[in-house]
Amino acid sequence: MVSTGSVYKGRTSMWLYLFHRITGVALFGYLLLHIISTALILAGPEIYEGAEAIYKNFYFRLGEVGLMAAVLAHAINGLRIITVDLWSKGSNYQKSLNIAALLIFIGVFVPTTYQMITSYFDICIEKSSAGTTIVDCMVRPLPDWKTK
Amino acid sequence: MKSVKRTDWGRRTPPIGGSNFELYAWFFMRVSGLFLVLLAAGHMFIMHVFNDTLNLDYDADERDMVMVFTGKRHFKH
Repeated sequence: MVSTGSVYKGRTSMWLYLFHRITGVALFGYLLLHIISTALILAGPEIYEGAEAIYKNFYFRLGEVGLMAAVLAHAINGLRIITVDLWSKGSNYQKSLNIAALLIFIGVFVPTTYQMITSYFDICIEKSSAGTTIVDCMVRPLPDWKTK
Repeated sequence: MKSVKRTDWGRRTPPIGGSNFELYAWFFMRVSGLFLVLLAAGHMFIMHVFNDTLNLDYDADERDMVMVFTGKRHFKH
């Protein structure tokens, strides 16, 4: 058997291809759960806000940051793929586009993460009883404040 | 398994009588991707950056979606 070689030769672009598939499947799975969770609003305020209360702690905030990372990385890598495929000279600049995609990701993800984390602590401390510290907000499974 | 240097990239002839379905599917993924980047990333930024999911409740409406612009951290009574 004669191998004619693979289209994907195992370098950065192939790992980005694999990364794109993995984040794509993960985001699709999350999307299904997200739709179910959001649809609980049809069941009324008590059930919906009861479900939302599960998410209102620091562990889920870290998960949201991870979700943001997956969405941004998948989106920016998708734009890179579109550029390579549809720009006539795209395949001549694959290394540059890989680096550009990484830099754009970092440039968007870092301030986004900063906002999401600081906002969590600001709201947690503002709504919690006096004397609550950032560490309390981090380690407490559920905040002691209510949505109302 | 012997490996030979391949030189015919992009020159494979399409099957005679084949449909263009694969081509259209490939193109659809790129075009729909452009829309989804705006929709999905926009949704993420509205919910997690401009607002905060901690503010979500049953009565949330669009007036709650301007946290960054108003400087208010929450809108609860």
